[in-house]
Amino acid sequence: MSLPPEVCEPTAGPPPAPAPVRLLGWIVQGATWLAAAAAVLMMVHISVDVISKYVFRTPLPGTIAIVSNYYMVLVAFLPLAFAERRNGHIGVEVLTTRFPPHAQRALNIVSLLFCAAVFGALTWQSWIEAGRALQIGAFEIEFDVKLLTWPARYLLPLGAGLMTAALLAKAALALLRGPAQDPEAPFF
Amino acid sequence: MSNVEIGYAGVAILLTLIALRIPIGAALIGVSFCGIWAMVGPRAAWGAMGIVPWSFTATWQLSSVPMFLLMGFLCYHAGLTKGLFEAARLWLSRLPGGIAVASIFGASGFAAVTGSSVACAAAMGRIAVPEMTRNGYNPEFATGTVAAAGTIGALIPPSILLILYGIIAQVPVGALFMGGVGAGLLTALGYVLTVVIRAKLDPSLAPPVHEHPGAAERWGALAETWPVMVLMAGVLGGLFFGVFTPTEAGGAGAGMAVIIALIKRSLSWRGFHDSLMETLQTTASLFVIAIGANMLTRFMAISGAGRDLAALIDALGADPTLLLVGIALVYLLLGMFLEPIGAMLLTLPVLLPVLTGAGYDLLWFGIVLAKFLEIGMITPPIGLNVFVIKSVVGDLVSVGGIFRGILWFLLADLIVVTLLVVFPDIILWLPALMQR
Repeated sequence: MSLPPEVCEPTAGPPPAPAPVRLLGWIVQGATWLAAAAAVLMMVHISVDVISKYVFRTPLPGTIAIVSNYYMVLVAFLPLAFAERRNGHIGVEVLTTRFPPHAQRALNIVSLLFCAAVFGALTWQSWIEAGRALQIGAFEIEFDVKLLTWPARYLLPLGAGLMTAALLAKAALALLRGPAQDPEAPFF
Repeated sequence: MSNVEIGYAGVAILLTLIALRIPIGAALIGVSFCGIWAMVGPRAAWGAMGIVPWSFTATWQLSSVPMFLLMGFLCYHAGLTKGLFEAARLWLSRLPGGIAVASIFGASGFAAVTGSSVACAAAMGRIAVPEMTRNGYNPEFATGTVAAAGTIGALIPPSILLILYGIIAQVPVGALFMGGVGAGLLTALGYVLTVVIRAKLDPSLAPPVHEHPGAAERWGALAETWPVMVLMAGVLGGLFFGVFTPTEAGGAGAGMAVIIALIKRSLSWRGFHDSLMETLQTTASLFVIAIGANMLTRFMAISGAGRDLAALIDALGADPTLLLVGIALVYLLLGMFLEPIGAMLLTLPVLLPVLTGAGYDLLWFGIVLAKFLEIGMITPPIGLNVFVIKSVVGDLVSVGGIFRGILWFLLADLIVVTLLVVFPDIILWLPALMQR
């Protein structure tokens, strides 16, 4: 069992990252704030809808359409890169911790590149899908309210693209920094 | 290679990648994409990549996941659950092992506002373990109790695990929640009995407490638990009587938590910010895996490997009980390496055809599955709850010591699981009562 985080944090801080990576960090931060705002709006919107449905007998128009097409996509996809930055994606570590350090490091870089390929493919295809939705001007109708849904389609390639960039940045930093980097420590 | 062979090969490659520390979500998406490509061609593979992430995520039903997560984190950061353990401790002071029993009550109450077992264990570990050691309780006994009590968190609603199971297995989430109540309460009862019996047999584990609080103090402490009582009554009551849907319950519950925290003046900006960030991180990392599981479901359906496995098990003539023992062993094994939601999402695409083939009630099975997965949280070598408790209590006790403390609770769990299998109505009576 390793040391609790508060013991190792002050000493294991990574060296400052190059400017483009720091810029990426700011963009990821911005996307995370946007997702946080969506989470708060989702909570308020659903609560108000429930109240108005049972107190005033009139649901807010378009709640389901807005929650599912906008808030959910923002909350699920924009923080992908944020979670990656915090090493928050779920994987199995017990087997590889027994490997020698250089093997762990190589495996870590391969893993980052594999994930970058997967999320790169997702970015590519979701961008094409978003383009299709734009062309037909995709929308949903709920209780006579028309909600355009095609703009939300672009949030998916945005989140997946940021995730791909974050993975590539981590791979590049892991290569540049040599064996000193602890794969558990935040990269940028 | 035939499609079925590609299906089995895909599962083997998937497990290898995961063992090599590739994140589960990316591994699921990548392998399913390549598998569909190999069987049907690039158009179908790109098609799945284009459709599944959007159509899975952009749904109303799934919005309860981030909302219940937010509600749990808000309760935790605003300290809404603090009074629970204190009240239970004062009321149960005369019982053998009273403080340990109180921590089980505290965990059950906390379970009603959070969907995760780890959060439950961490919260109780921070409050209850110091109180127990101060009163001379054996540290292994104290930490073992709290680690086990945490597992009630994923059974008593709201439960993130059950929401995702319901969506993938197409079982109504409201019914699953109500089914979890019976299993959660039975588990709590089993743990309470374990504590009382052990403390009776060996009083050195939990020496009797001599300060007995007066009635005024006890009622005062009970009044302090109002935030949790209001939330519990609001969310569970609203669900049971059909005032709102399970989806709406998430948003409404989070909203109620914010209002209660504002009334209590206990929510700082820092706490609000941390609750949101933890919600986002958990949501994003869970959804990637859930999307991957959905892609794997497609891959398995096209390959026919799931149906092939079901036919194979049918041909072996295994009866449902024996099959269940087999499934339990698989999850116990998986629970050694994987956290429970990941383990569930990874296995359901392969397992569901087998389950329907064997004629299980999927509502009942969901709860039993949650119970199996939670037992995996407290079995060596990798018990997630145990590590959480260890990080909270520090040098007080070793990881091995906590596992020793848990041993007796595993015995209780074995009895609970047996009861759930022999008397399925423990799970099914409440969903049957529920208004539809």
